[in-house]
Amino acid sequence: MPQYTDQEIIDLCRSSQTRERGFRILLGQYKERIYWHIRRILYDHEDANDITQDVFVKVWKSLDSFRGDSKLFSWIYRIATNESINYLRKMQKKKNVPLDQVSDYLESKVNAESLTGDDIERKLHGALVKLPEKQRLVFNMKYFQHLKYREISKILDVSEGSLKASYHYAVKKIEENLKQD
Amino acid sequence: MKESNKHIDFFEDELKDSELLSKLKGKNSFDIPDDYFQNLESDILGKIDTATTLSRKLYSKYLLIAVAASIAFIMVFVGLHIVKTQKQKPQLVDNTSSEVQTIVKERIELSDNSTNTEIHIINDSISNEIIAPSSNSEKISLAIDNNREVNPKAINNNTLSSNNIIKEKMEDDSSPQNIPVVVIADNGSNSSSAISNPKLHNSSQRTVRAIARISNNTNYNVFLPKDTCVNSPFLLIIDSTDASNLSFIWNNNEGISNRFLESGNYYLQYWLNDSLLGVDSMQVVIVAKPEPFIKTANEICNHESLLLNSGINSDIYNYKWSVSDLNTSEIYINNLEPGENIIKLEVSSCADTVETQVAIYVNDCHIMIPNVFTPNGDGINDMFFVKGLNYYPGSSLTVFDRKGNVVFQAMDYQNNWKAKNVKAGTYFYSLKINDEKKTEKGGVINIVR
Repeated sequence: MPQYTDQEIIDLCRSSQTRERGFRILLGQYKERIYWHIRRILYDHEDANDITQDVFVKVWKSLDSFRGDSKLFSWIYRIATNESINYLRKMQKKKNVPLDQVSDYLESKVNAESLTGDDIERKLHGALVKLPEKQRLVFNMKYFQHLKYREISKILDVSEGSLKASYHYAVKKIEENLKQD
Repeated sequence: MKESNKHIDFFEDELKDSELLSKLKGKNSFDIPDDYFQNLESDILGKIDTATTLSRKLYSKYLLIAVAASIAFIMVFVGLHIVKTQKQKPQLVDNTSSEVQTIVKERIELSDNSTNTEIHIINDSISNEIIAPSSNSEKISLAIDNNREVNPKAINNNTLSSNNIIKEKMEDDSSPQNIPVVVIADNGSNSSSAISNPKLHNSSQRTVRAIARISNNTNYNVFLPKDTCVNSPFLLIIDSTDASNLSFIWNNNEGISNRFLESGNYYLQYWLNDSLLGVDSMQVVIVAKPEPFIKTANEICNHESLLLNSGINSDIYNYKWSVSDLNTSEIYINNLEPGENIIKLEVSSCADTVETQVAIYVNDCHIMIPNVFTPNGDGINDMFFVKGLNYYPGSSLTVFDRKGNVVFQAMDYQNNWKAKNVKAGTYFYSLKINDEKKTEKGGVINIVR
């Protein structure tokens, strides 16, 4: 499949005749990236699968209201981020876990079968889930997904300076954690 | 199946990771089922199919209801209204969505068939006015004037039958793309950034006012305030007097336009006349204002390490200690300078920064034992004075003569031995310091008269 630019996809989606084709292209170009983005927030494959589907259904339904004020890229990522975080918070509420202990829920996922890889990787993820939400998001997007600060800034609606600080703190904390024992 | 790295090359960026982290880079230890992405695509497309068919069904149902309502409405008004002569041929509104157009067409047909038409001219002084009947009995008024300000008076002036007439004063160029924008913004400003971060400046401010209005930009959008982080739930009031034809539905299915916002993700659908125009979302994070209170000892010895506790036990906040680079709620410090030390702590959340400080007096607790003293009553160096011993109450002192006889003993030595009835000469002492390690010191002390 040839690569389409975001603008071309938007143009296709704008007209009702080509909307479905446009959406298929959008899906083809974004599904993997968005899935991995969500998976890295939620860890569990089943959770990530559900949320990814929700996100794209939401994108389809809101295509009308998307008129290119923000980039398609950051718009979809933003929906994905919000949905994932929302889901995590819901899980916490269900399990009556206090707000600052999302990490417990995620830690159980890290320890579960869904994560392969050697000990050091497992340790990295163990450290990662202990980070505050924003730092974890920034770290995920920067370190694993290689997004630019400018792009993350648009997704999270946070200034680049603050993102750099968050990333810095995240790296520092993870390193401290990895160095222990 | 592993995550492909194909995006990496064009996402180059400056990255200064540690050795360890850069070694791990690019590894993906997550497993997914084979063919997952193909299945994902068909799953999503399947869901969308059902979603659209459903909405089509719903839509046709609404259309039927709308037509029925129109007919009923006309029957009621047929006898009641005095028909004014038409000075100007009404034109069809051509800038609204096709659904509205369809309904409008039907309505006109119905009106024309009846003897008393429902179409009125509101104000003949406005030359470019377009009038069309509405689809149902709901009040609809899109009134836009040329200086881009909403004119709510247009509704009031329309004394004839504002209930069933769409009155639109269009821009000179009323091209089909020229669709109004609904802006929800603070203080009536026309941009969404105005409440970009509705900081609640004091604890009593609990509301953020947003104004829904129709302007004449090229898009039709609702902008909620940007994602925000504040220290207490607040009330978002959407004042839609200037866009009273819009209705709002939040994601908890509440139709009210005002909503008390707590932590969570909010989606606001905005509807015009049974058709969903769009959705916007915002995330609200409520983080309680931190109230740090440093818990620690007020007085310590210079060699002791000190535990400082912020009084808060939460990762949500950032902690900036004046004496450490650690961003944690609790730190250990040592090597403080003797004297008074002011330790400051700044605890910040996304919304607040609170500073507190504590004064800690650091004593020089270094023990210094003299090797000579002169108990001659001249007021100078008359006692066996161990400097710093006062910080270790419970320390015991025993002094022996050369033969090993005890000449002085105190279980809790108070730095007060004047060597009474002891001859000048050389003696030995044993000092058991009551510190953590129960240090024992021994040595020679010369008594000189």
